[in-house]
Amino acid sequence: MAEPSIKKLFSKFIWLYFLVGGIVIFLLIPWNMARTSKNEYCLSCHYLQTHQNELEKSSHALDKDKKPIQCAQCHIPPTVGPKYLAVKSFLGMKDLIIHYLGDPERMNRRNMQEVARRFIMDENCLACHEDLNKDVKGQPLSEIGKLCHDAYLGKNGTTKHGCAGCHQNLAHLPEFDRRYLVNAKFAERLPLEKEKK
Amino acid sequence: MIQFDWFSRLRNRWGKWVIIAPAAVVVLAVIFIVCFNLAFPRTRCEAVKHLEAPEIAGDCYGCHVKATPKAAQDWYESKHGVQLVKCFVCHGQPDGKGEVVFALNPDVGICRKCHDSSVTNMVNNYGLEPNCVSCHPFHQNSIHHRAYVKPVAKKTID
Ligand code: HEC
Ligand code: HEC
Ligand code: HEC
Ligand code: HEC
Ligand code: HEC
Ligand code: HEC
Ligand code: HEC
Repeated sequence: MAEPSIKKLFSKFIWLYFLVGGIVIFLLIPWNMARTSKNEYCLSCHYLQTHQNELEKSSHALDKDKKPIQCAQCHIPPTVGPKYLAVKSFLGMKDLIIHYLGDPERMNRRNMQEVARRFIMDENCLACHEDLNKDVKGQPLSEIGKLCHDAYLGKNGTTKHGCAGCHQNLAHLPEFDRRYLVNAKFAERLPLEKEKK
Repeated sequence: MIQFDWFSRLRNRWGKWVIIAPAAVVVLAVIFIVCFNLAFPRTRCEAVKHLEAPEIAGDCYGCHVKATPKAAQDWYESKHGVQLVKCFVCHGQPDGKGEVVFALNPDVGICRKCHDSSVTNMVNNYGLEPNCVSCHPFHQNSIHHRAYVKPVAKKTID
């Protein structure tokens, strides 16, 4: 009887199909992870263009070598490891779900900030700002800045926040944060962007 | 029973694995969620030990306008700031001196010192509900909560 034996063969080797499928998916993971960490991928969702426009006006538009700073340099852990995988898979799933099932045009940026700050690793910032006792011009930091960074490092008290919790609105500035004096310079640069349109 | 037919068939075929496999998936998912939350805490630690800076300890605002610029500005612009209800009146002294216990989120008892009649009014009418934010959305500037959502007035940017 040919028919049952084919059926039997199929069910006998069913694990093989899963194995091959699994290996293929597994091999595609690194490629996909790299692909979805590129700026082009982020900006393929047009509503993230706002963030790019804001970034271009911020203090973080260009790095020391005058190259544009990429989204991934702040938003995704710098080294591949468990944290990288966790952040990539969590943020990726969240983005896909909201993109296809939610309404991305009506972003609640106040809530998004909370989520974003939680997933910005201090290592990202430290990759470019190695010395916490110097400011960006290489001058010694202000007295208060030093005290705050000592608190961050646990030398003198502790802080509740990491880098992104104290240094807010570094790269993006939604309307509701523009009234704050700390953001005055950044806010000044932004309206020009709108007038140009 | 018809509806359990597929289940008993699965059981016949895979035996106890029908129970073990989904249970394992659930356990792994729970472990993942727990680890995930431990790896990415909302705040670095809850019980904050305030830093010590004896020379400028009195100038809460002067330091906080740099350390927590938004909270400081919200206070400065609020009625509390205008009337100079100082930080330590609500938060207490970081070094533990003074009668007010140092706390991030001051107790209602402290508000009562100045707002006794209104708070009593409020408690009589609504009871004391811990979620202050749900009813004081426009007052939040006074207690500089980050959920403050007052429409941007007068000076608009665009
Ligand atoms: C790709 C490198 C890079 C990364 C990543 C980066 N920065 Fe910067 N940062 C810079 C450069 C370049 C400047 C601008 C220096 C200048 O203005 O001369 C800057 C400026 C700053 C300033 C001072 C200007 C301002 O806007 O107040 C702060 C504070 C700062 N960065 C904090 C951070 C924090 C916190 C992070 C992590 C979220 C971070 N940076 C991530 C490169 C980087
Ligand atoms: C407790 C709040 C706090 C935390 C946490 C914190 N900082 Fe700062 N940081 C400050 C303050 C306050 C200043 C001084 C700002 C000033 O003098 O205008 C400062 C200054 C800086 C500057 C120089 C800015 C300039 O204008 O040149 C850089 C760069 C910087 N911080 C990076 C970081 C990085 C990276 C981290 C995380 C490892 C971090 N900070 C964590 C409060 C904080
Ligand atoms: C030298 C700078 C400095 C001075 C002066 C200062 N603070 Fe702070 N304060 C900080 C820093 C830094 C933090 C940590 C912020 C964080 O966790 O993000 C902080 C945190 C706090 C918090 C929040 C604590 C928590 O659990 O998150 C309160 C409340 C506070 N300060 C009140 C005061 C009061 C009241 C005074 C004046 C008697 C004062 N501070 C003086 C730097 C200062
Ligand atoms: C200099 C580091 C940096 C870079 C580069 C950067 N971000 Fe951000 N991003 C942040 C920080 C810090 C936050 C947390 C909110 C805040 O403090 O402004 C954030 C928040 C966000 C949020 C949620 C909050 C909001 O404002 O809507 C989105 C979405 C976002 N970033 C997208 C992007 C995209 C897209 C790019 C690339 C074009 C990018 N970011 C590049 C630092 C960065
Ligand atoms: C009327 C009483 C009152 C006064 C005066 C006051 N605060 Fe607060 N503060 C509060 C309350 C209530 C909260 C908790 C709000 C919340 O749940 O986020 C708070 C929260 C904070 C936080 C944490 C904010 C956050 O977003 O996590 C800081 C930092 C802080 N206060 C600092 C200060 C400083 C500095 C001053 C003086 C310049 C000051 N406070 C004056 C009532 C007060
Ligand atoms: C030292 C006295 C004092 C303490 C303590 C105090 N307040 Fe006040 N509060 C004031 C004064 C003064 C005003 C301004 C009243 C006015 O102008 O009508 C005010 C106004 C307010 C308002 C109305 C603000 C508005 O915009 O209409 C709210 C809400 C409020 N306080 C909440 C609180 C809370 C919550 C606490 C406890 C964490 C607190 N206050 C503690 C003195 C105090
Ligand atoms: C059910 C809604 C509700 C909740 C929840 C609530 N409040 Fe109120 N609150 C009110 C109302 C209404 C008033 C005005 C009472 C009056 O003056 O007759 C008031 C008045 C006050 C005042 C006096 C303000 C002034 O203008 O003098 C303070 C202080 C206050 N509330 C603090 C708090 C605190 C702290 C909490 C959280 C423990 C809280 N409230 C939660 C409804 C609420």
